Amino acid sequence: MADKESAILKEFLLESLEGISSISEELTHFEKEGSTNNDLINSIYRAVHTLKGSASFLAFKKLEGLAHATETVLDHFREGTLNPSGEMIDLLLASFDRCQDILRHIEKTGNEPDKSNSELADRLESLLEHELLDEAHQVSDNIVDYPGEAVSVEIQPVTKNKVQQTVSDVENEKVTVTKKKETTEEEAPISMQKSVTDSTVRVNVNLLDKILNVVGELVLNRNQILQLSKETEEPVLNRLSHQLNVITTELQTDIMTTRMQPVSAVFSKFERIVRDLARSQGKKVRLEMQGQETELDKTLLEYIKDPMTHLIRNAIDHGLENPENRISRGKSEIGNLSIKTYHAGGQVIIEIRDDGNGVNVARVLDIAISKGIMTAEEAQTCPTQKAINLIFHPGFSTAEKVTNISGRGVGMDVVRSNIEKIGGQCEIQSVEGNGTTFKLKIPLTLAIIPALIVKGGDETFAIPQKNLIELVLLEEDGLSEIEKIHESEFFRLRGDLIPIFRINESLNLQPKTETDYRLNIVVLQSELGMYGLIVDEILDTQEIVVKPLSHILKTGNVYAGATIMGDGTVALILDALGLFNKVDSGEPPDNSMFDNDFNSSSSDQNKYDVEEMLLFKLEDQREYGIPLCMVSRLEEFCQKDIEMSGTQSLIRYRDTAMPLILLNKEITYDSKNKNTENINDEDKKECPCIVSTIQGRNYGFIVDQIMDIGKSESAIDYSNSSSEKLMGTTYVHDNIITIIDIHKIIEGLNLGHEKLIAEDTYKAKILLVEDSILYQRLMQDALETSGYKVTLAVNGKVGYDILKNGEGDFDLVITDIEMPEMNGFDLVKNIRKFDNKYKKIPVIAVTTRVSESDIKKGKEVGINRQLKKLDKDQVIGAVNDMLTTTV
Amino acid sequence: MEPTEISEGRVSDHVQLCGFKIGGGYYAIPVLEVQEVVRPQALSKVPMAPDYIDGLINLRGQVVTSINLRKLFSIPGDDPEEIMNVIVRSQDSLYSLVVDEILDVIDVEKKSFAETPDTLDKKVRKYIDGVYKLQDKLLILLSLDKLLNIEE
Repeated sequence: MADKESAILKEFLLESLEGISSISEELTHFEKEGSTNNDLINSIYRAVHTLKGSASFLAFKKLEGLAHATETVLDHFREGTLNPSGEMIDLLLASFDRCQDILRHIEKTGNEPDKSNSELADRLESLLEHELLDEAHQVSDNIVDYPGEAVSVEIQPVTKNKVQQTVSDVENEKVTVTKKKETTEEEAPISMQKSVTDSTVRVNVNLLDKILNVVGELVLNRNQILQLSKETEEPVLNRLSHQLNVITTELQTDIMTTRMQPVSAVFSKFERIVRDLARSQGKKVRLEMQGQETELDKTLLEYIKDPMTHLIRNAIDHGLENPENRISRGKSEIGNLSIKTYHAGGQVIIEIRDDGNGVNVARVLDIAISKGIMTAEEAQTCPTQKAINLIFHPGFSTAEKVTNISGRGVGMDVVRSNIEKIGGQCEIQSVEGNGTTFKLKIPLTLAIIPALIVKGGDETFAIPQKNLIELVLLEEDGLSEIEKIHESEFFRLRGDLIPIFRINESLNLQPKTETDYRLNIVVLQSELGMYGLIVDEILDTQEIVVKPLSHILKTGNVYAGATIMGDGTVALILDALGLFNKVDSGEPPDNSMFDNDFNSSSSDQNKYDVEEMLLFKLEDQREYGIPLCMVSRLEEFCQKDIEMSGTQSLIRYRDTAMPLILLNKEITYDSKNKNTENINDEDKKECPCIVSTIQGRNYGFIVDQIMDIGKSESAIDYSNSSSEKLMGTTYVHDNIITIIDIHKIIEGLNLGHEKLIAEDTYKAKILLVEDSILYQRLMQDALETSGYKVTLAVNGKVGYDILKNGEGDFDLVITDIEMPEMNGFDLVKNIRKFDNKYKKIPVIAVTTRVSESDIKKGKEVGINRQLKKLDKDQVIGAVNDMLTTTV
Repeated sequence: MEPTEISEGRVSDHVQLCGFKIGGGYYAIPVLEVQEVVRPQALSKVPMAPDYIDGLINLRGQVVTSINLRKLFSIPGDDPEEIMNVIVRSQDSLYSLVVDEILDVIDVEKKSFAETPDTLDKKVRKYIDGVYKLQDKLLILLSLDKLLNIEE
């Protein structure tokens, strides 16, 4: 029947044997205390119930029957319908002893003993009936001496004898029995081989962690002693330290092993999943598992359980075909699913392979296009492997997937990120029509990772090997290969331009004094892209033990943890993504990564709206800017592709004619003449073009040269605009930048640009309180595109006046926080004090920086939502949300 | 410092505090919260961390975050040469509170406790639970929870 080596069976035996020994104990306890202790009887009941459940699951019918009979009796105890009599308890105990015998027999042979338990179960039943009857009689009138007692008297000696006999049998046979065939007797000796319960101890994982820590300390101590013994040449010390070395290493390895579990502990449950799923889908699946004895850290094993379940469900649901389809494709009727586990290169590899459909590349690309993950043009040239990998893209998982079997709202991106979270990798290979293979590469243990040790200033850092791509050494003559675009440094790595950061500057370290003319670049891969980190020194690679950081330090995300080096000092582990986020934000290296109260003294940037600008040059060689949030794409068009419709230039862009605006013509009046010549001149010239989507239409702005992206370093000065096509000026990288008002330019072009909403068909009326012209434009544009009617108020005071007088019939207010005259907080505070219809109007506050303290303050004054200005979609989403919930 | 005399039966009226000095002030935390007190250890700096984080210490294989109370409370003056580390545990992490000088374990009467005076410097007030009025001085009771969940 069952394979006695199977992991499930072992687990079952371990659990049940433990359970039964505690049941017997508790039952005796229960008898002593009387029927008052409900907790105790409940706990016994539960244990028996579990035993019954797992026995039935593994189809041990006899065990199940016996457990069921005892459960019925216990249920009466529990319900209080029967008081436990001594006879009953005896009988119960005898039954549990029998259960134990059966379990031992299973442990030895894999099967239940043939001997029937019906006699015991029957007795339980009949005694129960009598006693129940007895109880009933006792309640009605005092009839004593009913057969109930007589029966029990009769039974008792039998059971007792039986048990004693069993025990003595066992003892006798141990001595006398020669190895004869033990076929039926459950009383047969439990052979000399150690039973499961005797050879294993359950240990709390926390305790193991603690032991691991202590061993770590021991290792450090050993290192120091070894160091000392090398210096002294004392033979005794040398010998002892050598021994210490050997013993410690062995101890360390053994402790590591205690945390390891064979993967079968988790994988065995997949058999059931596969079976059930295949049946429900009407598919035939053969599951083959190899390398189940491969061991993995317990924590990791828990981590990969869900992702693997997902992959297996996917394989059966999407991968393997129906038997008919398989036959028509010339495959065998039964689908094959294999899970292969093996060691390779210090990692455990798990391969999940099916011989089903494979990934339908065309469909994947279709979905990717419809989800906006890539454009149709990109899709055409997309290599197959890249297309297959798209299924890992966040947001690829479609809504329809959630409803069917394979998806519980978890997409493949979650599978991948879960695997990556534990330092693993997830790869997919698929041949359409021939099946799919997922390859999971899992590190052996979480606690120890290979890392590169580097120095920056006086500090030592560890960089996890999984983030490391390569090391580049630049000699003196190669230093020019680091190129600068404004303040940012870049390096050409075999043609790819990667950003370069200096660890000393990024982390505000004391640079080393001597100037070395060589540069070490560590090329790292983060989720956001590749980058280079210039470090002072590269030491070596080591296996490091990861220690978590206290939560005070976790906020920065620059460090993934800390580790203790061989010499006992602590080194920080750099987090490639966190560091990239930090340096890429372009903020000056201050302490602002820690959002603690000590830095809450609002920085200067809070006083004005920081805006990212796309910088470009026109013919007059002056620098202009367009707010980056208005830019949808940058393109280059060939002059010869530009067509004219009347005086308006047009270009075919994504199947529509997109109006092109020559900014040279619009802005730089003085060079007007030159401009017109240029158009027809050089047909092959590529024109850089900024594509912007305004009220749902694309417009292209032709410029001379696209420069860079920069943050505005001052508030936008609207007073300097000499023309209505210019919005104002600001400083970027210490240069004055003229900001172009592209909305005004488009309005001026008369392109038949109609207002999207007719006056009376708007969804709702919104009062927009905002002092910055730029944001007025942006927000108004976004809101009107979504079908709202917008009224502007240029500062809090104006907004206040409108609302105070009860003008208009607004459904919602969107307000800026930082404004002249009256700021957003004061405005809302005042609104809430009104006694007109606007007292309870929903208010969304938008600001460039949302800080914890602002949110708190906003809540106090009565702001319903606070959002980041830059995120148009979020603002629109919130508006839709609030208007549907409040109406 | 004079430890208050107490008789066996009145222990429950008293609390035991671990006292320490920073600058001229006397501070304390409940003695049961202290794991141990250690001498200065080799520090590894944490770049970009707030200035009150002195760095990380290796305490027998455990990484301990060292918090400089003088800087946290903005107490003027420099650390003395021989600082002391009061090691405490919060949630799963170990922290070291860097102080000038360790006083003994102090038994104080519960009734000498007073709420935090409102006039106290705001920078310190948010980290303290109250004040014990001792005969010759005030003992400021720090709250580990507030200290180690440093935020507004």
